[in-house]
Amino acid sequence: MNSRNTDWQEYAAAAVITFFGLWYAATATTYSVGSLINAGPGYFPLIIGGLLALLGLAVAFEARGKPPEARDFRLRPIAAVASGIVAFALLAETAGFVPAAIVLIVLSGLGEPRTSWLSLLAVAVFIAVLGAALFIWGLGVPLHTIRFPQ
Amino acid sequence: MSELLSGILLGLNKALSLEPLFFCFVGVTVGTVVGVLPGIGPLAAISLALPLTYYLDPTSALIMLAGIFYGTQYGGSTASILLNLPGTATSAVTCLDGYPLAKQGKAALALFVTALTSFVGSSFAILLVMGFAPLIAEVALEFSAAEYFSVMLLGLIAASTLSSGSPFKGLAMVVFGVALGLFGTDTNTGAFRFTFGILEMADGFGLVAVAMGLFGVAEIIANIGAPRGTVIGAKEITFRSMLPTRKEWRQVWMPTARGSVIGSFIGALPGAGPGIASFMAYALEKKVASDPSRFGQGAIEGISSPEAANNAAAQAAFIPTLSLGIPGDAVVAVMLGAMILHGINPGPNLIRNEPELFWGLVMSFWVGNFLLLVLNIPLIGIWVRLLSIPYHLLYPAILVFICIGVYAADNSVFAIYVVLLFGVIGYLMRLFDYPAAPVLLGFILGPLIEENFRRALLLTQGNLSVFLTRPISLAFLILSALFLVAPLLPRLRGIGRG
Repeated sequence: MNSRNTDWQEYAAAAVITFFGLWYAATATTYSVGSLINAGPGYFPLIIGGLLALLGLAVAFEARGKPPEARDFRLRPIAAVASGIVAFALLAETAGFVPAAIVLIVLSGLGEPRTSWLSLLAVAVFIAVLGAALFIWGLGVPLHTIRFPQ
Repeated sequence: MSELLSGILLGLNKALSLEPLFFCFVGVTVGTVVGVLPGIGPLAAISLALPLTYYLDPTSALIMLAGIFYGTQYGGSTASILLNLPGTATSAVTCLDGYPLAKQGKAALALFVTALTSFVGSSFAILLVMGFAPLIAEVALEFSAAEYFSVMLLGLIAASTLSSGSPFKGLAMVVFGVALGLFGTDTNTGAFRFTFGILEMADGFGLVAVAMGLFGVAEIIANIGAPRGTVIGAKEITFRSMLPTRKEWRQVWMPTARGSVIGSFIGALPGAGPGIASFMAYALEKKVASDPSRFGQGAIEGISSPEAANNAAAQAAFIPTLSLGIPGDAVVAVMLGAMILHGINPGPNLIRNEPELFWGLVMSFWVGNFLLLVLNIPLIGIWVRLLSIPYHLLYPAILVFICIGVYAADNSVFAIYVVLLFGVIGYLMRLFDYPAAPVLLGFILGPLIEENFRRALLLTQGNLSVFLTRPISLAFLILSALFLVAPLLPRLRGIGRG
């Protein structure tokens, strides 16, 4: 096997599926499995986990001999979106919807390198007010608009 | 016949009353906007609208959600034609000939033809829904747990092996979805499964959070920083330039008819939806064309057939959904989830127990499609302008709506972390060509398929042959086997040779 002509990433993805399937099946056995006549809560998950592990192997089998594929993996968009969403989750109930939304928009907006700060901030304020009107005043979602620390 | 007529009257009465009419209009308008804008599809839009419908009467809620779904099928072709970037995944093939047409200065013609063929495809499929859904429901009243298990299995297999790409990856994703669907409390015994002592996990992952993660957030991550084309031909759209010549009319009509039939058939299969339908319709047109080399250079058949097909499939997807309670597509699966949230029990009893809901919804399809024709022909200029909104300002705003939407679904911050988790998983799946729609279908059908599996075995004292001895169940299993084996055959032959 020539390592330059092997799509190792594809194998790694297949391995993740197989390991998830094995873990799932193993966890299922800690619940009552039962029998065909009276299947317990672990019975069906055990089958599903096993099936998933096998399908991971099938995907790996299919990948053999295929040249590596170029994958455009970019960390910046993930980091920007993830930090924005986590910030929103942390701020929504403690500081209120408006600051949470503004922080989310600014942080996630950083994912795009050529963004303009001024227009991003304008969008942030506009969406924060629109969202508050629609969801909090309109639909009664139980969040504060702004909450000051006690 | 008189039953059909009274159903139509009942439905028209409902669909044309003020509230449903208003929400139908809202639905198709939102659908058009979402369809036109690349980077947000029907799944994200419907999941986003789902928490908003908690406050509506169930019929109006479903009319609006359905309007978003079929509305996106109209809007999706606009970006394909003008930007060479599909507005929704189901309009991807329309790029192949739509964009070359726009480059030749025929953008207006292409937009007109796709709107018209979309309408024809939808109309054909709505007639089928009206005719067949009640009949199928009648037959399905005899279904026992074994038949339900088998038809759901058929849906899951069709969804995974019919999609383009590796059938193994499709199958792995459908099983992954089933696995995720089983997280939370076991409905039969009340046992907690895969909850890891987290209180919020007792109900499993939320449907809205999983759908918005896999389709909304993942799409956004993938689209950030991606190169964007420029809109062409938007200025020269006048009504006069829209109208096809007599020769072009002749070229359009047969492909539209073929696309409508293929789309309706694929759409009516449980699990297979508009995306697959449009690809198949395009492939067929290329095969029957007298000069296949015209395809990809701006062949008008290459846009009329797939656009008829994806609309027909979107409407026909309601046949299994409304008659069996088995979703015809991942998007409709979310609508099925919406029904359950509204306390409506999907299944063969639906049409009998809730005739006003069924006929009201179906007749609203007619209303919605007429509205879409107006929105997409005379008013097309408005939507084209939407394409000039810069994406770097649009996606942060969409993220806010996603976050508040999942929070509103069950007032919990936990759901926001779930949406992020599935956003990252969905992005990685895209990178490695694992399809996301089967995950969602498996997620929704997983608990149901387990329940029917266990019930069928309980009733027969653990006799597995029950799935084979009941004729309807056997028929579904044979079909499932066909769908399973057919796409694998060419690969297996390759293995035998290599």
